[in-house]
Amino acid sequence: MSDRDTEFRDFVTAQMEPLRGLAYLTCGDWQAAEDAVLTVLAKLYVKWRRVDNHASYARTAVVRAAIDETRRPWWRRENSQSHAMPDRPSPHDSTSAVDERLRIRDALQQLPARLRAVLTLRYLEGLSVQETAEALGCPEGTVKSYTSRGLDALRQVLGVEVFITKESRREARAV
Amino acid sequence: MKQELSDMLAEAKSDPPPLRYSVEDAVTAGRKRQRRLRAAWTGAGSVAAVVAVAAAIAVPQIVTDKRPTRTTPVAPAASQPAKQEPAPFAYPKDKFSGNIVGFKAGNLTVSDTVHVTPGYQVAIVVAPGHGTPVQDAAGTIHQMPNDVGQLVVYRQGVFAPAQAKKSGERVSVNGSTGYYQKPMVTKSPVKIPGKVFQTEAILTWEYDDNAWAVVTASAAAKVTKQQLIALAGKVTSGTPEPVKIGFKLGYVPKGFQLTAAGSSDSMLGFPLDGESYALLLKGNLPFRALTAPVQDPYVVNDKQLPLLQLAVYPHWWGKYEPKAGLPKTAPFCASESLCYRFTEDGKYEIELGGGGTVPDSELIKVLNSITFADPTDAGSWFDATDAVS
Repeated sequence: MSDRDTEFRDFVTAQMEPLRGLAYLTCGDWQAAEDAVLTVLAKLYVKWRRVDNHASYARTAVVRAAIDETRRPWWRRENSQSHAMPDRPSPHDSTSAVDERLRIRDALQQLPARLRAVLTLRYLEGLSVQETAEALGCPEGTVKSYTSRGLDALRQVLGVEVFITKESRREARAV
Repeated sequence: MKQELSDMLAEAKSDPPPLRYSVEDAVTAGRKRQRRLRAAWTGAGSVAAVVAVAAAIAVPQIVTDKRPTRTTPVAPAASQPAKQEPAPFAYPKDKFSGNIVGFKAGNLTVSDTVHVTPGYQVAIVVAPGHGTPVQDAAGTIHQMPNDVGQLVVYRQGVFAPAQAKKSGERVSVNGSTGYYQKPMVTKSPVKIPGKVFQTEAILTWEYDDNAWAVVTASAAAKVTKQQLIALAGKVTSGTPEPVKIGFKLGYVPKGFQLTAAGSSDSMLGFPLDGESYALLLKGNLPFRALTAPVQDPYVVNDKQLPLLQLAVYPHWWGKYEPKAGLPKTAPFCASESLCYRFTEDGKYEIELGGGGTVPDSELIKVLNSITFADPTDAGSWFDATDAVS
């Protein structure tokens, strides 16, 4: 087995699940997320020796691929009744962990994919405004605007105050 | 009620369904993509092409630079009298000599030998037109030859023809038995609706007793069966020439030995001007029962052999600049197990990959011991066997 294959296998073993989660939060569909991740990993395999930061490359490419997944024609056709994020739970749902998860997924699903990507990259992956802008290929101002809009939307949909961690807050001041 | 956003995001992606793809699926998809790109890009000999081509694809409208940046394939003059009955290819006895003589076959051109191993030698098949151009870091567009396949001549007893016999259509090449396999349409390695890949056209023939040669052409080149058979019929051997490379090692880590060398690396693309390559493995790689040229990974008994891959190529093909604050020719490692050294004029560089099996300190030691030939003057190059011993 080559050094590249060994390194690549180690990377995939460690990163496939987190990347799938990142893609899922962006596109809201587990299968599409997996397809996006596999596509990106195949590209990364070819570029392995030429990419300095494999995790960063994969993260950026996966988010972009996941956004692209939501642009496919069949996506709009099938998304609402497929394996995508579930329908909004009833207001009478309990506060069990499962219901809470579904509630959050549903709230996220109501945001546009790029807006979800901004929130995910910034507050799950811990990227700065600048890094998020580079990852998504958009101006920093757009990232700030999307962050603000995303937080507002989540507050409205969930009916709760959404707060961020101390570390994240430092970045959020720039919003 | 308050909720922390990162916790919410983590919760939203928790409890996922089982993964449909495994680590091996990712490796397989990567390998398939690499093979497809090699066919489509016609020889991404240096790793730089992987990066550079993407940039070049984005600017096709400005690709008007006609400066040839790769050597022109060697071919005999058109007036050279054709032999009626070519003599059987006489494979060199020496492990690191090549003797494929470049020639033209219709609109295809075959180079001289560009890559030699103890088990086979390789020449490149070039079609009219240009390959995908490459844009370097300075924005200069470099035109690439339209290399569409390879001619691989195997030493007697090295090639295993069973698969070719099983899947190929039986044909005759100058009276010798051959097998033609047309390009196959295969499914995409990833789920992309409507996307399919095409393999290469492959012609395998027995040029001497238990001695086989294979010529391939990418599906995109649309080379016909008749063209490949005509090309195969013209393959001739010349006087064996020791393979030469544009650098010499003053220090070789203990146990490493030359395994491949030439003006093209193991990806078998058409050589860049000044390009040369040597692969050293710590251990013996058996060249037997092959069905294709050997490529990374170099595995024996399920174990990867430690390797040193050295390649000289023009700086425009590379990715890194000399380290600031150090002498221009000082070796440096751009990442773990991937180190470089530039020529005095900075126009060429040598890349040394250790595959993670050799400490960077050893790689630096090897690079410090290197003597460059003049990359632009093949007459100054060293015999590969002498250069790495």
